[in-house]
Formats: sequence, structure tokens, C-alpha cells
Amino acid sequence: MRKFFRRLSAFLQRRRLRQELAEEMAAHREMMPPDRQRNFGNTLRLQEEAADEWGWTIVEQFRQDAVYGMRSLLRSPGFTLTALAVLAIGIGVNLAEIHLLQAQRHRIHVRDIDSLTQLLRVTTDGARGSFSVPAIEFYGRYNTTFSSVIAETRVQGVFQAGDSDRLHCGLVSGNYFRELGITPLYGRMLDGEDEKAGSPPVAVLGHAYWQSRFGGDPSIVQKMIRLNDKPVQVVGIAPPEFGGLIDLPTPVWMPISQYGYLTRDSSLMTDYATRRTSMFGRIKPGVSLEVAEAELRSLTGSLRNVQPRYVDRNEWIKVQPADTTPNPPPGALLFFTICILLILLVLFSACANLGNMLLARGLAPHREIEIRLAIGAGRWRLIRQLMTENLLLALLASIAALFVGRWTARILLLIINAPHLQIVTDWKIVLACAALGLAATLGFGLAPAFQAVKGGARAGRIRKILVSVQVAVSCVLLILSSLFTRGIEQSFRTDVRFDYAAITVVNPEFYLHGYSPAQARQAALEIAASLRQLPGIDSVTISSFPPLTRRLWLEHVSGQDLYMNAVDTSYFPLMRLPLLQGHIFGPGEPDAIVISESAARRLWSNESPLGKDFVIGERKWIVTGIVKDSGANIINHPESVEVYTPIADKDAALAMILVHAARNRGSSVGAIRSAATLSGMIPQVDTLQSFIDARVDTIEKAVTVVASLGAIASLLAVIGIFGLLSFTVAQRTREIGVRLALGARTFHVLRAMLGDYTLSFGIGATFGIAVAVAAGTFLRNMIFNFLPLDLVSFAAGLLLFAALTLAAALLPAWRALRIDPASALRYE
Amino acid sequence: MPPGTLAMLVLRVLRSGPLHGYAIAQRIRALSDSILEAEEGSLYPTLQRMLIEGWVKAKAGVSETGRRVRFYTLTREGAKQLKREIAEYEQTTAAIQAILRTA
Repeated sequence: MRKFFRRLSAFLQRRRLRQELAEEMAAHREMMPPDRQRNFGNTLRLQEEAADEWGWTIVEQFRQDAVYGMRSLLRSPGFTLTALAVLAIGIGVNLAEIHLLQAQRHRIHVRDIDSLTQLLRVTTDGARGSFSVPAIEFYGRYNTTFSSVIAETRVQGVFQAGDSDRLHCGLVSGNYFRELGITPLYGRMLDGEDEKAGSPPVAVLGHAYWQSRFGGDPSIVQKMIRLNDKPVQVVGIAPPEFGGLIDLPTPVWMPISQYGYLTRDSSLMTDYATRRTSMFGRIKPGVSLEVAEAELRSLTGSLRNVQPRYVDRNEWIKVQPADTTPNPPPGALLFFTICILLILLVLFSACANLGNMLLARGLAPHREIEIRLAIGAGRWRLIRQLMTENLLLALLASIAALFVGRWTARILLLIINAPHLQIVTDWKIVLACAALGLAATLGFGLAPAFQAVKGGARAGRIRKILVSVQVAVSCVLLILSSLFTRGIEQSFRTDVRFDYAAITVVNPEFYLHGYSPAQARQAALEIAASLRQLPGIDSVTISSFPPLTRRLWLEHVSGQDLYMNAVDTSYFPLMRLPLLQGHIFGPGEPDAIVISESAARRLWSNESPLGKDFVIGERKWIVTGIVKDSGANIINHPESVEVYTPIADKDAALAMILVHAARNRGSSVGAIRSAATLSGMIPQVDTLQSFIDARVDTIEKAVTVVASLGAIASLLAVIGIFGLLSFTVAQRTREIGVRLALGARTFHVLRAMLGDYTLSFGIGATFGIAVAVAAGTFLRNMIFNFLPLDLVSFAAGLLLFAALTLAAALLPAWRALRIDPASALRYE
Repeated sequence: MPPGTLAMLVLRVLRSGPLHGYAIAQRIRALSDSILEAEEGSLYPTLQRMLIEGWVKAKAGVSETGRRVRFYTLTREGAKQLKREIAEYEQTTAAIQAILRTA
């Protein structure tokens, strides 16, 4: 340790020490007998060697290199700025992605998040998560490891004033806001008084919803609003950073005791079988998750003694930190991984680009390096010096990238419309930035540095390879983005038979309101009848599953997935499904089924399916008719392997009503909802278009991300190609001048100039197409299976890129042709 | 001069009092009847290393010829190091001699 301090002080006083060393060596020399003075050797070199012992030579050299590098960067500001921009963008997009990941992880903003845990009910048949309210009360009262227990459940709510959005309202226990430490923006939050039975119904609005629905008007506080046609008083507005615990952002919170008031379903608060509520707990300081789990396990045992019917034998409770990110579905994860790879590709392209510029530039100080090599500079020393310069560049670029990353992340948040997420630049981001910067330095700098020191003809080949890499990366990104964008339009235009833009789905959710099958059937018929009375409605039908959603009834028969639906006979004309063979089931045929063309082909490839027996789930059906493919399940499967059964009483609780209005497209959601409302029970009303939009929305976000990546990569490629060609022209000015003087044609000059790179372009494009095909097929198989793989997108992507590179080549080419032979010959 | 012994010799020479670089070289030369020569090229690097190790301290002074030089003084750490090195050296030479005599 003392030694280190001596070393450090030697470094700090190095100037004085050096001076003293020089003086004493000079004295030494003087004192020597004259005949031996000559043997003393090179004083400077001896000084250097002696000073080496202080152990700071490397640092000293680094400092020199850095100063030298800085000077050389300042000498060519054009190059430096371009390089900085390229690298900052390359690193920046990666940082933006890390920003988003981070933001996604820290989405909950409450007091002391570390002690907040979520409790999940686990049974033998897998994690269930939710609890019944009386069970939560039981655990809350008898545990000793949590300082408090919070409950939240969700209910679908609708504002009456003609709104079409269905909202996920958060119904929370009275201690919710106090325990989470949420202070109101206006008014007050909910408290224990509001939860007591008989309290007036009150609500707190989420900030985002308050902004979008009420224009951020604070006077809404204390006013009455109507939620599910029931008066509710707004008492406060939540602060913007708090979006809720479960659904983010939560638009409205109400006390959990108002569940019955909103839904007519009073079982939630008292029924052990109604497990629809999430439980959170503040764990006491010093208590580990395991200890809490152990205590809850024994409490579950006690609860089983009291309520044996409602507690499974192997039931236990998992305790996990509340800000654990819920596991994303595998598809999303995969897509995300691919996005990360694509983003890394952009950085890769940036590195290739920069490497190219450095190679081009490396030819200029060549002479200097040769001289230094000739007078005995070590190769490593020179490489170190060049790399120091690159490191300097990477450092500056990393600092710029921190800002680029922040802005990009902000813009992406706007695009994907997630205002409740917050972008925080913390040490992890800075660390990632440093790591990326370092990796990039190695990536773009090492080869050119070696090249410069070794010299020789291989520079040209490396440059061509780097050009190919850039072309390939840009092609991949452009093709993929064009594939996505076109795919969406295409798939709906070609494969969906029915007039989805005119159809509205009314879902009364009878099963949620405790209707018996008979009651539900009666109610469904009533709703259908009153909807037929509305002006502009062409036809109405009842089915158990709506088209174009992920809600479905899937049966697996003889190796084939069948998309089932129980429908009324009026379903077929409304969905524009013409009968191809046989007949549609009539009222006296409860066992008859109708299948789609594809199903007929899949199940009976060689014979006619009509009249065939067909067993689905232990029940025997008879095929009576074949209709055209509908495309109703295109979101789940590209082929319409569909089976329709007549809707029976037992399906009625699931029944929903489809409304077709050719002229009054989608505008009458409010009217349809009020016509379909039975004694205060508000149905869910959605246009099919909104289903598609919701589905397409995620794809569109993906497209936006991929497309912007494509744009960035192309920008980089264009900068790179522009720089490369400009450099080529500058380098060969003399030669072009001679050629022009000797009467060369425009075409020949251009060929001489561009010809070198044609092959690299070809190779790059080929690779790009191959990778894009692979990635496109993969994506299609895994996630977006309804997207067609069409050639036009490929052509469009390629053409776009060709146009861009052509634009990049224009200015250098023009400059080449403008070269004046006379001055070109005097050049240099 | 066997490698690694220069530091030991410098330490030993300094035991009798502070000396400047040239005087150290002179003393080594004189004491060894001009057999051992402390080359300037290795003397100064060695001295720098000894400074860093803390075996000697340097103090500015003026030489006999009126030049500004540094006088090197043995530290307590340096005295200990000298003892260690002498012991090590004697052990090694004894071992070498034993082999030379018997083999």
C-alpha cells in the first residue's frame, strides 16, 4: 500500500523527478574521467529507462496517445463528426432498448417497493394466482409476517356518456393507497371509510385516463359520473407516476366493497369460491420470503380446517416481489429477442461503416506510420496509439449515445403509447453504454489499426467485405419492415370473407351475472329482438364465439385442430358463407353440424363428408353441410378448419350477439349498447374493427420498431457508401482526369469508379435476402402466422435500398465527371 | 556482476552514509578493486526502483564539483532488505560452492 502511494507521488511529481534525474546524470557524466565519458551512452534513453522504474510509462504513453489522438480528430472535423454520429446512433439504439427494458421492469412506482410482495395462490394444477375476498381477510387477520395486506380486483366498467371504451376498473381495499404511499394530484385517495358497507360509491381517476377522457380538468373532482349506468362520485385524481399494480395504467379505482354495486354480483365479498382478487403484502423488515411462505402455508392449513371445500389439499401460497415482471408470452419474448438481434445488427452495421471510414482514412497517415516504423517504433506501440485514438472516438460517441438512447426511448414510448413508463438513466445504462462503446472500439478499430501498421493491399478487400456487410444488414431490415407492413393489409384483404368492417359484437357475459342457461337464452333472444328494431341494422345473429379474437373453442380430432363455434342458422348469411353442399341444420336436428371447405378437405380428403358420423368430445354429430371458409380464425390459424354446431341451451350462457350494419358502420356503438342493456346489466360492445385494431396494433408497433431500425441502418449505409465513393473519387482524381483527357466516356469513368464495389453489393444483397427470407419465415411460423410471405415486399425492400444507394452515389459520381483534366493532372 | 546483486551492493555501500549516484558507482569500483563496475545504465534504473520500494530516500544536495545531485540514504526498510539479501546471497553461494567442491 505504502509502495503504491510512493508510486503515485512519483507520478504526480514526475516532472520534478525527471529534472533531478537529468541533473544527477549530467553530474555523473561530468565527474567521470574524460576517457570514459563517452561510454555513458544516450542520456535521454537512460533517463527513459530509469523513469520506467516508476511504473507509469504506460499511463504516460496513454496520455500522450490521447492528446495526439485528440489533435488528429480535431484536424479532420468532418470525419470526426460523421464517425461520432454513426457510432452514437449505433450505440444509442441499443441503449434505447435497454432503457425500455428497464422501464418495463420498474413500472410500479410506490413507496418502498422492496418490501411490497405479491401473493399467489398455487394449487396442484398450476399457479392460479387469485384469491377470494374472505380468504384474503383471513390471511390478513392471522398472519404475523406482513405489516399489511392489500387486495385488488378488476371489473369491466363503462362510462355512460356514449363512451365506447370498456375500462378495467381497479377495485381495491381501503388501505390500498395509504399502504402504497400514493398522494393525490387533486382531491383525495380512497381510504378505510370508503370500504365500509353502506358508504357512498366513490372513485379515483387514473392520471392518464383523466387526461384523455376529461382533458385534465381538475373540476371533475367532487362531480358525479356514471359508471355502468350507476352514479359514482369522483373524489380524487391519482398522480401521473402511479399507474396501478395489476393493469397499467388503471383508469379508475373504486372501493372493493362496491363490486356488487357495479356488477349486480354480490358474491365477491363473501363467497370463498369467487377467486377473482389479487393479494399484495408489505413484508415486515427482516422477514424473508421463505419465512413468510412457511407461515402462510400453515395458515392455509388452518383455513382448510374451517373451509375444507374451498381449499385444495396441496394448496400453498407463493410470495414474490411485487415488481417482478410478469412472464411475457413466448411469442412476445421471441419477437423481442429478434428485435434485440436486429438492433445489434444496426450497431454491427455502424461498426462496419466506421471501420470502412477508418480504413479509408488510415491510408492518409500511412507515410507518417511508415517513418515511425522505419526509425524503430514498435508495432504494438503504434497499434496501441491507433486504438487509443479509436477509444477516444468511442468515448465521445458513448457520451452522445447516452442522449441519443434517452431520446430514442422517449420517442419509442410515444409510438407504443405507454406514457406511464418512465425512462431513467441509471448506472446500469451507463455501464451498458461503456461496454457497448468498448466492444464497438474493438469491432470497428482493431482491423483498420492492424491494417495501417502492416500496410499492404488487403485494405481493399476488407473494405469490400465491410461494404457487403452493410448492404446485407440494410437489406434484412428493409425487407422485414416492408414484409410486415404489406402483410397486414394483405392478409385481411384476401382471406377474410365476411364484411368485418360492418359487424359489431355484443357480449352480455351472462355467465358473469349468474344467469341460468334458460334465462340466458331468453335474454339473448330479447336482446337480438330489440337490436333488430334499431335503424340501419341489416341482420342480427347469435353465436357462442366472435370472429377475429383469441377467445375460441378448439377441439382436437384425428390429428386436426378444429375451430368450433355454436351458431344460430342466421349466422351463415350474416357472415357471407354460401352453402356449397348439403344443407344447414334445421331446428329439428340437434346433432347436425356444418363444416367448412378446409375442414372437409382436411378430415375427408377423398370422399364426401356429407352424412358422415363425427365424434367430437364423446358426442356424435352428423355432417349435413359444407360452407365456404370464413377466415374468422385467421388470427390463430391461416386455414379455416371450422366446424359449426347448432347453438343449444347449454351454450346460451356464452352467447353473444353479432350485429351487421352495412350503412351505419361502427358509429352506433352507443346506440347498440343502450338497446342491448337489460335491467342495468351493461353488455360489452365492440366492433370487429376494434378487435383487428387491437391485434394489428401490436404488429404495427413491431413494424414501426423494425421500420425505424431499417431506416437507421439504411441511413448509416448511405452515409457509409457516400463516404466511400467520395473517398474513391478523391483518391483517383488524377487517374480519372487522365482518362477524361484521353477521351473516356461517362460510362467508362463511372464503371471504373463504381465497378470495384458492384460485386460487394451483389454479395451483400444476396446475403441480406437469404437472411431476410429465413427471418421472415421464422417470424411467420412462430408469431405472425397469418402474414403471407410475398415477393412484392422483398422487391419493395430491395428497390428502396437500391434507390437509397443510388442517391448516395450521385454526388460522388457527379464530382468525378466534373473533374477538369488539366487541373487533375496538376493535382497533389 | 551477477544479476540482481547490484541492489544489494548499493544498499551495502549506503550503510556507511548518504552518497550520490556517482559516488556509489565509484565506491563499488574502488571496493572491488575495479573488478565490479556499476554501469550507469543499470545504476539509475536500480536506484529509481529502490526509491519506489522505499529502501532508500533521496535528498537534494550539491556534489563536490558544485552540481545539483541527489544524495541517497538508506532507510530502515532498506537496512532490513540488505540483511535479507545478504543472507540469501550467502546461502546461495554456499550452496553453489558445495556443488562445485563435491561434484
